Amino acid sequence: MSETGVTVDLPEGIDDSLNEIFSRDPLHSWSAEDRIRVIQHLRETRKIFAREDQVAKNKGKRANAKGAIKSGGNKNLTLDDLGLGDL
Amino acid sequence: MRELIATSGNGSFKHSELPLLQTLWDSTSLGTLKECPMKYFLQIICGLQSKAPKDALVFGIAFHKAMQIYHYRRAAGAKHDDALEGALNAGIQEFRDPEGNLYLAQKKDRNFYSLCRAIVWHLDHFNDQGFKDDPARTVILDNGKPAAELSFRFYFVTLDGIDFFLCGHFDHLVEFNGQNFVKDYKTSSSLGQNFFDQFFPDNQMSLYILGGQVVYKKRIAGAIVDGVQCAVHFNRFQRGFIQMPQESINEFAEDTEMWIRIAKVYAETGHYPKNEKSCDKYGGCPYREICRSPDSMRLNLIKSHYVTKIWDPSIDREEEHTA
Repeated sequence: MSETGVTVDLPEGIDDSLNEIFSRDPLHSWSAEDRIRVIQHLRETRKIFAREDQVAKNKGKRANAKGAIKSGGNKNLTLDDLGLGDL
Repeated sequence: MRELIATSGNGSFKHSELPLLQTLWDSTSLGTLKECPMKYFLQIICGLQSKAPKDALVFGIAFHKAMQIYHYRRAAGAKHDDALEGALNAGIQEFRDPEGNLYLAQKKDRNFYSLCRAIVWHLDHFNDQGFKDDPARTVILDNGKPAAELSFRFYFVTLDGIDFFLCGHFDHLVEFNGQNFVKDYKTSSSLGQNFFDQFFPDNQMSLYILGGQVVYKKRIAGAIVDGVQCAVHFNRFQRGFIQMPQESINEFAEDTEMWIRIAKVYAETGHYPKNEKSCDKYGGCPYREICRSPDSMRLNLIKSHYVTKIWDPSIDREEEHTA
């Protein structure tokens, strides 16, 4: 719980600057710069996910979310943890 | 249960002699009536909503708001990155609980972080792969505004001297390969053929296509559904095309007239029967506990488990957003 009373559930291992941003109330204390930083972070996770997606497709499988998880630093999750039962 | 009726002040219920008769219909009202008359009574006429969290609904409203602002800004000449930042801000500001605080979702695939990711990934996805050159081009209205989140309303039919109207809100009206389509964003936990199959026949899509044809006086070939898969750690996007023959639209109009006739009978008698075959649909009807309770217990149950929030299709969403 942050000082503003806002708790945001983030992937583990997200870098410190983003944790600082996400610890603040996004409704009232995010600046345009904060939002741009979040956009940059999400673009990074998208690139990683796209790479993992392609690798999975090359193996003839549906892609999974490991890329996005790696960006969060948690490499110990199982497919069940990721909620990928519908893939 | 009469004391629950909350249609007073609802612009969709304007008939002085039949206060339960809805004269302005949108797809939510019509769909609820088709699903179960008792559900229609509780949800639309009484305005009851369960206090249970509504992650998917709050997420969907915030995502739609972001898309609307993105298209408005792009139409005004903003570059992709500027429009994206504005869209993200709009989505964030919409993601609130009833007290106005940041909504704390219970499901991780519909939480705040997932919302930000869905907005950024979706808009970047279609920018990379062609929002700039997207063959589905947003129709620009005569007033210069893009046809995004656009409210429509039109006269439908007169029954026994009473005029009835249909209304709705487009996510988008687009031109694709020389044909016009209504376009709608839909979030889901999974995508695929089964996901897109649910939209034809479909109450909402049929009404939007009919509305587009009447209001814009153009043949609408069908609907485009931009599906957004929401998972815990990723989003995927898929576009589906729903071609709808004119015969199907005509049939929908005939059916709708019959449904309104049936609603008039309910309003005249004040009797809204239960359709028990719908109780377990869509994860279970939120009013099931009311129907299970004896009539004498219902008021207390309603006071403790439900809040009143009037669904009024007469409120123009575009004006609401831009006011």
